[in-house]
Amino acid sequence: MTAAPAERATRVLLRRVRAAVTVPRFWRRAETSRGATIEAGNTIPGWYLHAGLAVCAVGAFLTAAAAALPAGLVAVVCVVIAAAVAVTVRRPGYLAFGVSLAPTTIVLLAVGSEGYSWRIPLLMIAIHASVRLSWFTSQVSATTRVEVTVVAAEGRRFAVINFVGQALALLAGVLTTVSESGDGGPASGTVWIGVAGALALIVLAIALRTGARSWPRRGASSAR
Amino acid sequence: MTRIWHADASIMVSAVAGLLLAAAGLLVGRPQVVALATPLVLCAVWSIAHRPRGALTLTAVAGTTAVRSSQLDIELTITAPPGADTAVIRALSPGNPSIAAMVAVPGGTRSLRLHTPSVRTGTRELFTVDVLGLVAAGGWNHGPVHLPAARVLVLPRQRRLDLVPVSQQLRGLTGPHSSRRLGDGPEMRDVAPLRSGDSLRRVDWRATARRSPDLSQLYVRRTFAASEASVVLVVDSRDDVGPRVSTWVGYQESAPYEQTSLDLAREAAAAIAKAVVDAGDRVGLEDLGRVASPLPLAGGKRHLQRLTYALALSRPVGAPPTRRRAPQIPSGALVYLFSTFLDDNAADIAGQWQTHGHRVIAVDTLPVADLRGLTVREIYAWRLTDIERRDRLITLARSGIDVLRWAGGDAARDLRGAARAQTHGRPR
Repeated sequence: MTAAPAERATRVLLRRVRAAVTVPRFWRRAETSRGATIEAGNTIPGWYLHAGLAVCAVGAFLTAAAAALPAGLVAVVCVVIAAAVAVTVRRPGYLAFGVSLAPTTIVLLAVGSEGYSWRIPLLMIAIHASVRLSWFTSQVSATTRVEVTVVAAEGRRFAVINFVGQALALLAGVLTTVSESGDGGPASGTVWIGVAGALALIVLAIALRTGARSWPRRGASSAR
Repeated sequence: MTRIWHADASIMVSAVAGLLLAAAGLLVGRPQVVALATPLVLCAVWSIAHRPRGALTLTAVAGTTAVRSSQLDIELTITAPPGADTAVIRALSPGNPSIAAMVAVPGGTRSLRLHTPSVRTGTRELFTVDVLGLVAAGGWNHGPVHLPAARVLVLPRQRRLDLVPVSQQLRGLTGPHSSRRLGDGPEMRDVAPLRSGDSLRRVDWRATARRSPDLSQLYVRRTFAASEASVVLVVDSRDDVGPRVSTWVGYQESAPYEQTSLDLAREAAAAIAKAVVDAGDRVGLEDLGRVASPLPLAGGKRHLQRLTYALALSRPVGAPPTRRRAPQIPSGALVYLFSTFLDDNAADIAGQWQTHGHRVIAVDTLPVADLRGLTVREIYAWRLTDIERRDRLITLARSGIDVLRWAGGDAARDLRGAARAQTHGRPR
């Protein structure tokens, strides 16, 4: 059965179109993936750290100012902190940390309660994380890939240091509560002695761990 | 002793922020606020206590100085002193945006591979690397340590071609072809009476028994001589232009994922050379961009390797020279001319060879043009140039020179067709 003329014409047209768009098998434009790569381990983009810094910096202020300041004022300060984080993307540094720490400290001292509360552990984590993330964001740009191994190692170190701080804060809180229940008044000298003594023990432990030779020696000669 | 590890701002920031928090807590009488400063003070103390001592060193190994690959890579080894456990690497390769990564350096040594895809050939620069040594706990940095780019010679790939035309005038007494002369080739010519000079091993006893049963006359089997064809590859390395016409000005370099005209010429010449050598014929190389001794006609794998290296080393040097006289080609050789034909010089030289009796096949190696980024005037200028070029190629074709297009066409099919047409009409 012969095909209708229209069908034949369509087949011819399709053949010509296919021939026109098909690249000959012999020569093809050499296709290759673009861009150089570094064969590192699992990595995350640097902007994750910038986002983490924004969260910690804003979170620190929110923790200090939650239910203590008007919502409008809190929102304005959060925007300022976020803008400071955005500035650090272009100009790496500790601006975001400073802009976050200043109002947080003011609010904490002026409005916060005197005793140990739920704010203290959160604040300690947020402030500590802000300063460490500020260091990371000052070393890498938003497009730099950061190995997960580096972040994980820093996370372990962060956990150890923050745990010591949390223990110290808890000790201070306990001593304050004990002294207040005993005296009926504000924190006495016992609390300060207890906190200072614990801190001195920690510093001594670090010094013994790392060895005296790691510390800078007075009078050591150095050529510039 | 020169200090090579410098303190960064994190020690000062941690210490000052911690002390300010502690002072504020003391003033207001809140031990919990003083405790908030603990992590900051401990960070500062930890950084001061963990200062690395020693230099950061960097080595890069390219693996081999000559490669045939679409991916170039180097192995980078970072050696850091104890305490320095992190490094920031920034690498730059020609035609690619810079890449950066922060990597761990556990145990003082870390090796990484850096890759860049590339379809370019010839002498290529690999990565320029800068490494900043860091202590992840913060506080100290070293460097950056700079490593200049190493160079590697990328050889053209040898695409497989089934049939290519070779010269019709055969030479020599050995080779893959049969000539008209008598010789020791495989193809039989006739059976003739034994004459002086004929070898007794060639006596055909059956024919002798049939024709001269009394053995008064011996008959020998005569064969045609084996001979070889000669092919000369002429590469026009006077210019090297990429597909993007906007890069022809010279301020921009072609991207590593775009083949330029010289890359295509190298690839085409390498493919044809391999086909010729595999067939048992001889091939030579000439470069229009250089007045130097050409690679003489020869065969074999070692000559093919030498020719491939010579192709990879060809490059434009200075202003493109104008050759008034065509380079001398061995008589009877077929000439393949690889050029962009953007000026009249290559076409004139092809015409001179044809006048001297050589068969010439012109291979157009200009990439498919990409006009992005051009102004309207520049597009008009390109159109005029393209019209002149097409006229030049049409003139060549009308004068009897075969013109093939390597990029955007089916050169293998065209070469196969030309070879078959030549085989049918080849004089013996």
